[in-house]
Amino acid sequence: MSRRARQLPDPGRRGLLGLGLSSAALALLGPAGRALAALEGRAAGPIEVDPRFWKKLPGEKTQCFICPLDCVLEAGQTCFCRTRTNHEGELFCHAYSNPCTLSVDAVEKLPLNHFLPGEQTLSIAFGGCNLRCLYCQNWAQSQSKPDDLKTYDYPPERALEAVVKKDIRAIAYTYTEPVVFFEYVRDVSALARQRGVKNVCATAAFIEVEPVKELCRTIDAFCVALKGFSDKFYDKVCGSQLKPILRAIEAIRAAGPWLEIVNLVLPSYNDSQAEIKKLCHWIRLELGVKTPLHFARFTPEYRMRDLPPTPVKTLEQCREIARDEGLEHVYILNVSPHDANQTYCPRCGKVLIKRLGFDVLENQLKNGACPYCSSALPGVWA
Amino acid sequence: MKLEQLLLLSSCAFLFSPAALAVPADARATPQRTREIETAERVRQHYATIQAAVAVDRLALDAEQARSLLAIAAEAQKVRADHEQELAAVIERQWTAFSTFLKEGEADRGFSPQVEQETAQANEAEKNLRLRFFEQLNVLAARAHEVLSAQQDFLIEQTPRPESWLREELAAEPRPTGETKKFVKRLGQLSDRDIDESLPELIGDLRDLGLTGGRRVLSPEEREVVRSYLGDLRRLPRAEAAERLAELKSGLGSRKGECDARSELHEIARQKHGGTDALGLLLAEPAFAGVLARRAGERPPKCSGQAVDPVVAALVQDVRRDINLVNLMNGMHFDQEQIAALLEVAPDGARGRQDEMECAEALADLEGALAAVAQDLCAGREPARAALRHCVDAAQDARMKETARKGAGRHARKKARGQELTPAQEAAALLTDSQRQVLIDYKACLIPPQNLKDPVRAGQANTHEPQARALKELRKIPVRVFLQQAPEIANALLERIEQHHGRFPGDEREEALRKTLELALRARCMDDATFAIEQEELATALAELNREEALIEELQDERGGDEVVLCDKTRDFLLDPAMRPLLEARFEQLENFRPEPTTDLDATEGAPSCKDGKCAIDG
Repeated sequence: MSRRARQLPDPGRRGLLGLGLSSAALALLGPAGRALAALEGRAAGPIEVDPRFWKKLPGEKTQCFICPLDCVLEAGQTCFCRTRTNHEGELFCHAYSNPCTLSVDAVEKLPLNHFLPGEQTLSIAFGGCNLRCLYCQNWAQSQSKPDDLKTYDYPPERALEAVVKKDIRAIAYTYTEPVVFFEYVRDVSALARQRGVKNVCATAAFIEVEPVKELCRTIDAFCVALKGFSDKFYDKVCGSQLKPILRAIEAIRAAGPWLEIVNLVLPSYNDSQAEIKKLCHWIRLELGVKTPLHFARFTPEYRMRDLPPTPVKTLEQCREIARDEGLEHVYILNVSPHDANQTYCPRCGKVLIKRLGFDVLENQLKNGACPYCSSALPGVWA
Repeated sequence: MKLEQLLLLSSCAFLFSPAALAVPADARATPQRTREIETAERVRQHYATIQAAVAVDRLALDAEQARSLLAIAAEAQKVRADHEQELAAVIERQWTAFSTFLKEGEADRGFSPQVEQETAQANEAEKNLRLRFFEQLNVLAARAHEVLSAQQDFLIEQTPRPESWLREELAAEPRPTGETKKFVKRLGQLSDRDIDESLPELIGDLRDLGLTGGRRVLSPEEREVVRSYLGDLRRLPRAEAAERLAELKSGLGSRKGECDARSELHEIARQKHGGTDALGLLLAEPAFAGVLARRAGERPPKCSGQAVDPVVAALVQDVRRDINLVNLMNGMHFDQEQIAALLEVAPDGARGRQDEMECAEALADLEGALAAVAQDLCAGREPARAALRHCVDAAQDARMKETARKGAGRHARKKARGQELTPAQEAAALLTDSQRQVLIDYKACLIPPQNLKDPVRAGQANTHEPQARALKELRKIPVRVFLQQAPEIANALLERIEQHHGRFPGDEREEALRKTLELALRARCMDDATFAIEQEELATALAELNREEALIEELQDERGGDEVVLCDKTRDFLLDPAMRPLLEARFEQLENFRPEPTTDLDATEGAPSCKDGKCAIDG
């Protein structure tokens, strides 16, 4: 863990060490209480936002700089993301050690197809999000405050204990938006890296460049949901903005972690050939043709229950556009069985990794290379 | 629809008498299909009459017993009539719900929640009705058992199904059928080497003749026996060889090899879907009460109530079958090229119509033959041997024609001779590896899973959610209660599992109980966070306690493993004649695919956003 940040006493939290001591009681104990919490590996209550990414403003106001919204808060107010609150002129994040979702998933579910295929991840999510996608597949969590959900006491140490015990090779920050639990991602991923555990992050990348660079120090792979390629789509459907996202993706590419892009194709909203072509063209120019791209099938959710699922034919057409643009690894997600679930050698065209759903049926890669023509495949394979 | 399926359908809903419910206007009831259903229903009724007459003769009831049994049978008819009245309404509801559901499935644009809900409810309503009916019937069956002596009880359980009874009556005089003769003729044209080379094909033919216990793949030892037997047979004069085969056939029951696992699976299905014993089935048949009454010189009991039209009921089954096929087709994500290739392999329309006509003729012939025998038996006369022979031959002919109609039967196999692959193998070869895997795992379902956790959406959901829920419930039991009653709690959980998936026999149950207790303890010992991470693994382990699944796997292994299962399922689903129009429609749909017109984003309400820095949320 890079540092132990200041924490806000939270009388609502459960007792520690089985002694029935609330976090408020621990706070009252002063240094002894904090030592007790540290000993137990449990962080008590909301945590101070990284001082580099917020500032105080006159009149007990605060301004957050983690995401491009730059929220200015009066005392008692909370950011658009629902996780950062101004407590008497100090900015605290309420999404820390209290995840709402813990599960073990295939890394392919993120989706990441070129990163330790067939391995499992410990997936962690917190309530809150800095976007308002009308089709959100996890809206019950993303559109709630962390404290309004049923949560687990899960300080960073516990995440590490779990992955070591279950021999899981990676921790995934996913389902909701890791940007809103930035501090937890930062601390867990630092600990994980120390212990040789990988970190992967599924994000919309609506984040400022400096914080994302900070994450890139410890995150091994990103799967970025590039939701469309027009400002209007981001504004009207996601309540967000395209340009800062593109900047963040470019920052990730420049910093070096493995990167895959996923585009959820929403029938009639972001599936025009022109928009798909622009998106693919940008990927080719800015990220390179070796960047895997996933076109994901939409299933009716949240406020878009009346929209039909994406026709498979549309996804196939998107894939054709991407391949025509020269992208070498283009996948179709949430449609299985399908040829576009497999990984092919871009040189000789042979199937190298066969998948069914999120299961890897066969992996023929030899040391990250095609066994037929020996060309190296981009990705993290071991 | 197979003849057996038609008969099975009728035996579950043996309750059909003249129509009160009209065939829906937009039903897929072609005049030919309607005639086929009506004929099949009459066939079923004749079989039921034969069964009832044979059973009554075997029981040799005294006057007191006959009176008591007739009274109970009359009560059963009342129960049946009441049930039928309710069933008619449910079937009507199913027709509406299933038809709409099918239309949505064919469009492949997902299911609207309301349609999905109505379909599930209509399905559930029928299931509940069926369970309640069998519950009531079983009470009456228990009373009827009390009327009978132990010996009569045994006799009733041993009464063969009418088809078997007819065969048994003729067992002393086995006679080669046309199919047997054709097989022998072909065999005579083969050399020993030819037999070696085409042994799998020949075993397939023997299976169709009912000589391999239903199996297509045999063990090396069994293959050797077959090879040697066929070698000997080939050397005999043709007529003698045909007689030999016929004798062998009459000496064997059908599908004896799979008897144990199959009967256990049958029992599990009865437990899950409702069912009764042989006496219960007789009681529910109007024919049984009729025969009893006639023998006692009384008038058969009369039942009122709205009857279910067998045509409507069969059409609902057709829609259900089409839903299964559409679900599979949607889940397989065929591309146009694959569909075109599958249509090349599938039985063509003209052939299908020809097959349909042949089936209809065979069924009509069977109906006539059975009617004569049933009439004799009801009148207390012994049917002529020629009439019995006619029934047996006609039943076999009808079955063979039905198999041929499925596209993978005789004519299809003949077509494949001289080629490398059978139609099923040819069709299976068109699939990708992952499609093959999906088909092997496929279990027909009405409502396919809609779960992003598993994007493979063909067939029944393969999640362990019910098990995970059961474990969560276990965790809620107060500590003191659990500590005091852990074995009983584990046993109750296992019983719940067994209700759905069959009871474990003897020692296996003890082991299953030990595992259940161990899993329950593990689930209880974890805190919430650890349980969240471990629950999938625990639920998977709990799901492995599944007797039904183990039996299915056992049968599949016995039949030759995945390859044979793949071919069987390819034949049964992808080459089902009903699949052809669905594939044609899908091809056209893909051919004419146009994306939805672009939505005008300016005209939409839009997502909440944070503009001009006004992002803060109070509180």
